[in-house]
Amino acid sequence: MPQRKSNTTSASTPADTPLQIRSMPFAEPEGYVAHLVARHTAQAIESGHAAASAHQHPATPIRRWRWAGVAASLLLMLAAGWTMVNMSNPSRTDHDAQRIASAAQKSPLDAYLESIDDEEASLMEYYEIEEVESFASDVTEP
Amino acid sequence: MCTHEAEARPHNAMNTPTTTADEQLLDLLQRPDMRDEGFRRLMQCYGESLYWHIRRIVVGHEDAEDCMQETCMKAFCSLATFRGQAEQLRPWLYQIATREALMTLRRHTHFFQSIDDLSPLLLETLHSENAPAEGKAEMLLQQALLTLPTTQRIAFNMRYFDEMTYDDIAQVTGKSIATLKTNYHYATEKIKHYISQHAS
Repeated sequence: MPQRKSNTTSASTPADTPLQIRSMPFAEPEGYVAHLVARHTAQAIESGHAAASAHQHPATPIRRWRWAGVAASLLLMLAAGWTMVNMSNPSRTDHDAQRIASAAQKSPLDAYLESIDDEEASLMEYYEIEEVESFASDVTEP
Repeated sequence: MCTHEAEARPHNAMNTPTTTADEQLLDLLQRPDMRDEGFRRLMQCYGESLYWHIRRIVVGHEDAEDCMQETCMKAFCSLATFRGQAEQLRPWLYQIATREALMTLRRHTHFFQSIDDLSPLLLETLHSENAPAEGKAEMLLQQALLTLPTTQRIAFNMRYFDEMTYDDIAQVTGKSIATLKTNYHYATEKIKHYISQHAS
């Protein structure tokens, strides 16, 4: 590792010589960086004390509003979740009402045939076709 | 160790080292009534080297000044929670400064862009803020450094310009010493190759 030299440069830098460049190619005024550091140090101390005194205050209005905002956000999220759950799972009474309304628009025979359950439908297979038709006509006659 | 008070450790009759400048600083920082004074002395010791460390990363003066301000504020606010030894003060400051500099670079990137892709922008800033009166060799070195990946460049800067130990650099970057040594070796080779290609 080459020895540290302040603000020294090499006139030419072939590949086999060690790097000896320590300064930056920026021409800052003398003492400028020291002044900048001192200024930021003072600002940091001042800001740090101001922040510390703000945190020590027990219940500032800003803190109260912050918690109110958090509570409101949680309530909104709960309400949105509850709404989404209800929309994806409609009630059975609504479904039954829709089925009855659609059934009322059909003929009495069709409505009767749709209202029988699966067990009765399977029993129908054992009846002959004439008996089914006579049974259907008995139903449709006023 | 604080550079402007860097002397050989004096020994007493029992051949035990007396407190160094960093230990004195740590004593001041740990006392709430002397913390402000301790912080001022800490920044007097390391402030300028911190600024140039940041400047080498972000290149532009305005960005470097903003980073320096954020570094000072975060360092002062974190003083009460510092639990390290005296010799860890400098790496701790450099860690804060490096994090701020990297955040500044990220603000210049687009959504999917890496900070390593900022080299053309940083090169443009380097040329715009370069003082023509300064030597060409410094300019050439900075151009060569901007061809390196950002993390490699940061490790090289701390090793070459700040002469930090690999232990301290590992504390700043979070990488292993073996990785840092390898990175430094490759960075040196790349820089020498770049300079040999572009030196007139």
